[in-house]
Amino acid sequence: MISSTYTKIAKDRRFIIRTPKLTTVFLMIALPLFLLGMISPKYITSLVTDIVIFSIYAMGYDILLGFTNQFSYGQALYFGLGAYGVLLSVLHMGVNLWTGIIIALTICVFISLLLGSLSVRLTGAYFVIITIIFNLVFYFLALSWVWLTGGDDGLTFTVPPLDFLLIKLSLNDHIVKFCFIFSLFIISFLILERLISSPLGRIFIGIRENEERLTFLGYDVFRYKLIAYVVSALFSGLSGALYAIRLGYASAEFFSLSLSALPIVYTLVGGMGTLIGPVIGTIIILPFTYFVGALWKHYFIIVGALIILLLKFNPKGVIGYIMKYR
Amino acid sequence: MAEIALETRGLTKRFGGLCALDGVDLKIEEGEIRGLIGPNGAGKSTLVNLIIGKLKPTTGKILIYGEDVTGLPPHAIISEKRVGVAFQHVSIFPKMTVLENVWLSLHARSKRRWNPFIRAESLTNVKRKAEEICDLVGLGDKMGEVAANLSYGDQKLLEFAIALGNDPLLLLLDEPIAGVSPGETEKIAKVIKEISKGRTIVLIEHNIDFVLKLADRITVLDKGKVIAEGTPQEIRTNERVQRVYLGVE
Repeated sequence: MISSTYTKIAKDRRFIIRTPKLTTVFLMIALPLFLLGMISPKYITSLVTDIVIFSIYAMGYDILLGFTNQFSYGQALYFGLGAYGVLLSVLHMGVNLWTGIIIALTICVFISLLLGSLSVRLTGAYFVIITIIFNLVFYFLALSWVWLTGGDDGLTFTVPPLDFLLIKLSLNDHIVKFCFIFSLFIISFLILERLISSPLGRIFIGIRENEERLTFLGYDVFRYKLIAYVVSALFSGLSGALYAIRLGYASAEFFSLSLSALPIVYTLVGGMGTLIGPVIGTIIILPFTYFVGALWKHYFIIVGALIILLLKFNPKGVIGYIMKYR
Repeated sequence: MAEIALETRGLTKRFGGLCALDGVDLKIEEGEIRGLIGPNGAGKSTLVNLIIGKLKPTTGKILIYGEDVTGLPPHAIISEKRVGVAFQHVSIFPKMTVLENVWLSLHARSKRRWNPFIRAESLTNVKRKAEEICDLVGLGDKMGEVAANLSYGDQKLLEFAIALGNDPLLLLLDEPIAGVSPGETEKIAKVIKEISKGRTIVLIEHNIDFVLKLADRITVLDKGKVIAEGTPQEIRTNERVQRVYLGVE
């Protein structure tokens, strides 16, 4: 967690999270990433696009795991809903891309409010289990409702051009697509950064630090945890929608548990409760799975071993190392 | 007659076969410091946990300022009835600074606590009040320290400061000097006097001398029952209290 790293600064300013620093570190990561995406050959740009999409996924997840200490193993539910939300609304209703994304996000908010109010009261292993169950229900529904989702084979769609300031940008060009997704990545970070440094964000950190004390200060902890759950679902949905747009495709696999595992891995490797940690985690692990995964299909054994080693020596993840030697 | 701040009627709590509290009737007037003493296992902490809603009573009622709060969720009791509680085992936010700890407790009453768009630092009046409370409990020079690094006595003071966050009318102090050094005990006694202005305080303690010194009235619990109630002087001379509590044969 970032707090102990900021102890020194906290002594001067008396507040743990110095968000201006967070933004600076973020820009130091995002700028090279953007340049890499712009100048590289197409397959590298696609890889960077994926990194950016999954960074949104992981940052949203960090609000849940890193800030309110809720270990969800079912975020792929919202990833899949976001993907299908945009795909189906474009396919069947012929809406433009913005409307499609908004429809997808609205669905995620509604479903997460419903499922969150059932699950957020649970803690520890019970919460993990119920999120897995919800996730699996949607996964099997997606697999069996082939008429709607295309099941395992999935559905393809033509990504409609993007309405942007009176001009229509075609997303067929991979650079345009990259820029579009990257700008949403920046916006997502700014929103989440604002959230965690806001009064509401302080309450999230309080939940992480001592949930019981918050209750006995008069906070209705359930509501705040539910908000965190919904925010997390929203950004999972956004990344799912962007992934469907990037591929022009979605399948039932988008709901699978292995997709639920990804943000957990990225967040833990990068360092939870830091917001930029998950981005770093994605940058490290995702290319690794691309290149090693292409060579050997059981590559996740190596990933698992790496995670255990990394966390054994520093439970704060990669960002713990960076901050330690600053 | 002053208003009754806290009242319990026939409060009973059973844990399986064990009866932790057995028909406790209490009436605590507004503005008083009420000492609540008793040997180990007398049911003191159970009583606190019942009042703040952490436990539900088996039978009986709890009234705060005349309103029945039995069965309400803890956060509702704390925020609506303005109850503050300082736990026996300090319950603070260890990785946050002293000021942030107090800030977070004040924030529970802040109208803008839901706002996700402004910066927390911009709530300057919350910060100013937090600084005032830190000064009040004598942590003014340690506001920037991380809570986990404080001495145990200072953590107890911080626990008070957090409990004062919602400007409670009824303040429950559960064993404020348990595990604290004699020097720091003095400091805590002074702070309790300081914060008692305009509040009703329930002081639960194991240490009888400390309570005799501070409390206006004292209730003695033994095996879940009230065995005596009166001024410190009356309690000091009460034979039954001496027998069960002070160990005089």
